[in-house]
Amino acid sequence: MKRFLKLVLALALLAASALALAWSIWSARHPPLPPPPAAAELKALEDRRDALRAAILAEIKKDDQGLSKAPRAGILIGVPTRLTASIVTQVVTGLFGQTTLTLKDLKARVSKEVKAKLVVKKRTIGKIDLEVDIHEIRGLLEPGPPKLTFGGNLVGIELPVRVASGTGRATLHAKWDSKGMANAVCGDVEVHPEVSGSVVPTDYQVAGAFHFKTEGQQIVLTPRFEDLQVRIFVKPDEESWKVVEQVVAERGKVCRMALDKVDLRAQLEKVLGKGFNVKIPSKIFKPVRLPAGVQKSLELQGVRLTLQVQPTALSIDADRLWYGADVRAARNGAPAGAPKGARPAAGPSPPPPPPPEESPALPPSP
Amino acid sequence: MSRRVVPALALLAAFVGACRPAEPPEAAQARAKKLLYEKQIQGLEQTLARFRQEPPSKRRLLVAVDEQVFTEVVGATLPLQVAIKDRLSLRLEKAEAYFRYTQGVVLFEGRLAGVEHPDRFLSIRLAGGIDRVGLQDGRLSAHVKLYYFEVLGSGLGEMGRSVLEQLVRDNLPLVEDAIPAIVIPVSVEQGIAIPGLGDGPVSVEPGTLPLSASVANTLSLDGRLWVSIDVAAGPWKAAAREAAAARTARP
Repeated sequence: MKRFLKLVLALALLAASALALAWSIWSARHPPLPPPPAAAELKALEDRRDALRAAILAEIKKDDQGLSKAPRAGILIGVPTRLTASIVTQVVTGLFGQTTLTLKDLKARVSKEVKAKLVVKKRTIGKIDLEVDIHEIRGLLEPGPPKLTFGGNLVGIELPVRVASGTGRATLHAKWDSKGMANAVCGDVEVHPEVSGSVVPTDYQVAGAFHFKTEGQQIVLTPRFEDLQVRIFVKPDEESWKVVEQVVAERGKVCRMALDKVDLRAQLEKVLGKGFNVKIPSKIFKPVRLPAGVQKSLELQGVRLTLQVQPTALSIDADRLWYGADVRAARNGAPAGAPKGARPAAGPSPPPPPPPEESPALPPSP
Repeated sequence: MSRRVVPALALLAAFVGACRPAEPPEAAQARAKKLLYEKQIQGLEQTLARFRQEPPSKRRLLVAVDEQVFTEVVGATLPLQVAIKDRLSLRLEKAEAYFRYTQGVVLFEGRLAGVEHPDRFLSIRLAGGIDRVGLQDGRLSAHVKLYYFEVLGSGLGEMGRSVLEQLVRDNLPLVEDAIPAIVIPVSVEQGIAIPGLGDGPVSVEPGTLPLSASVANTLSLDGRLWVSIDVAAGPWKAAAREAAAARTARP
């Protein structure tokens, strides 16, 4: 019995020691909390916080980048005009830099009677028919640096464009029909040499604008441009002149004199000097979607949400383009209510919105 | 004896530890308020210093999401059930976001239970700060970094509640990892594709203007979460040139 009591006592002692040990370990790991802050201390912190917030708002107000005119919306996107300018510039110059003008199966002709002084009187010595059968002219455009202007709902653009380079291939149909005495010494001449040439660089100015508008959930820059009339001039290359000169050189002396009178080179330059019209249609300018937009649906952990997006107004400032949308979310299958936006403002959207009434009831302790 | 006594003592220690008397709610609230104000003041001071040093950039794309929209989008994905280490099941049922005084906070309410006994659960509240806002595949998303956990109610009895509460509190990072990233319904394109033109004498090659975007910083202020994004555009890539480059690169 005594042994049993001793055992019980030992166990009790052991349990008490274990309890004391556990308590000391717990106390070491979880020291007592400091006393809670007094109301005055909290008030001082709140005042400091509000003063800092006011100071930040004052800093923002110094240059709010058009935020004060931005629409009130649940989601607001501010696209810098610099970014818009960069996008417009690169898209427009990129497209023009990849533009080829190709003219095919063109014909140009000139017909002229040639007169010369024979003995005492000027007489017709022949008639030249010159027809240039152009198989193809290919011209490449080269844009210069555009000038952009932002204003209203538009971004205006002035773009220098050069028909910079290119080549052409043609068959020259030259027919010399001698008349009178010339007929006896020269006869008729008909040649059809193949000639080629290069496009003469010419400069043009494209002017128009992109109109900002909201399309779905994005801002789209819609082009407003007129067709551009371009005239392509081709200059025969030196090889082609040689071909023409060869036609003359192969004739007899008297005949050469008659053909020199014709001046085939001048006639050809005259034919080609008028140039060829090409219309660059305004549809070369495509709508450009600005890169940020509100999504219509999203998926999270296998849950697909349909978002009802209601675009609000668009505002454009020198620094930014603001686009807003109110959003209402619903799981697929569940109906969405009216789009949810920002808290109602007491007038036109002020920069920034009115202060919240109170901080959320937040974490008692971290 | 030791094999039986040691686990028993450990359980006793946990019980004793869990038996510390709870603080009155007013004291806990006051303590929480102080902590919150201090966090807000710290954030506001940093923001003010940043603004004074360098005014908000005019080059960056800005996205502002109202806390009500954020709350609604997150709320529409709930309830959301996630497993924590295959042993605990966390069911998030309600979420509320607050973007004020530089602190982006999301409060979740839900249930925590063992996977094997889903009927025995803790009603809990979790709070976390908006953290790591980023762009993935052109979509904005945010992670929540948990820093607070509270038991709202329990059907486990005082001891069970305390033990589980401490267990979760000590393993908040695991709970945090289990909560998926919150998707903000704003997309930033990775390029602008422009079609070409091929009719008549004028032909234009299609092309793409590549865009690269990355989140520069965020600010929670006056009910809005502001996300500032660096976007670089270009250079223009003509489709034909791209195709030729791809052909060259192909072995």
